[in-house]
Amino acid sequence: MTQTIPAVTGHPDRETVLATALAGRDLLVAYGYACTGDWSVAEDAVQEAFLFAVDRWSEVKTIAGVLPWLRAVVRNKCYEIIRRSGRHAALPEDDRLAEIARIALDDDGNSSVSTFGARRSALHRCLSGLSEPHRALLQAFYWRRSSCETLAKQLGRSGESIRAVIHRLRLRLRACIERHLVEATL
Amino acid sequence: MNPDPEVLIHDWCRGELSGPDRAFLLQWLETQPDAKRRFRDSVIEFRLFAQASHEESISSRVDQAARRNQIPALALNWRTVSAAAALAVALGACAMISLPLFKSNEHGPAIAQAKSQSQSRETIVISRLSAGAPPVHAAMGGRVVTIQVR
Repeated sequence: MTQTIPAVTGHPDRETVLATALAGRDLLVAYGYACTGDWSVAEDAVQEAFLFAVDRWSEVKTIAGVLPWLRAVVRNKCYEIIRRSGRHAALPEDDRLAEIARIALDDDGNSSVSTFGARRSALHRCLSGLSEPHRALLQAFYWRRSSCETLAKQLGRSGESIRAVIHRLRLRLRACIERHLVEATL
Repeated sequence: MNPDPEVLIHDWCRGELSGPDRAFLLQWLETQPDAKRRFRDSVIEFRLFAQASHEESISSRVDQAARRNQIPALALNWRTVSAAAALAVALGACAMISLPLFKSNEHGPAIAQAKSQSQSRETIVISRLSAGAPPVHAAMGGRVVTIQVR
């Protein structure tokens, strides 16, 4: 489902705020990961942030302010969830990498959102061009987060060769996405 | 040979970055121009790949079930649901019932309740995202999807 941010100036209405929130969902989840180091918690936090936005959308004064506002909400929700679960030690507050990721995603403003939907659509088209074993490998690596060593045992190969295959697939997909994006602009 | 920073960033996203690799990545981030933008882009790329991989997985299962003329039996983690619900609705595989927002640790009872309410062989798609966001979907002009049972 591809969503784009509506072109609206001035005080955004409810529909625009929520549409912008949904369009930025994956970026918000990535931000949540930088706050928590846990994708599940990040997705919970974004979900709760959306519910918050449903009630409090009128606090946002400009369309450009939607995602920065939501990032702050996501961050608070992340910490609430972690506090509730009693996992204080898991907070990556002192993790320099996580801090850099948070700052980088904060600096992004809304720029990535405008291309995210197009990238996602392109990626699906590019994935359909891969062989079934390669798609299965990517699913195992990226979604189920199987380690290269686990996959190597399953496939009777070395961990390094699995890592190399995934690396090549990533480069191939990246090039394919860029090609689709260029074609879309012609 | 130094490791590829973008590979290491994906490892970080998978929670698998070793100590030496973490140190290398931090040094790269602190010293290379444009490294922070590449770091951000790689984190976003990871999310894109992970989500798309999963959507492909669901799509494949739904397609296979459709080819067999079966209702796909999907018992899903809530994380999967947006994609699954959209696909299931698009395929006309599901009718809908609504339940209030529930938390991930309440999935079991929610599934049991949905099953008990179903009069037929059922397929259930659990959508925590959708379950919590009917107003969002409605505002988007979308259909309100929570738990779908047929």
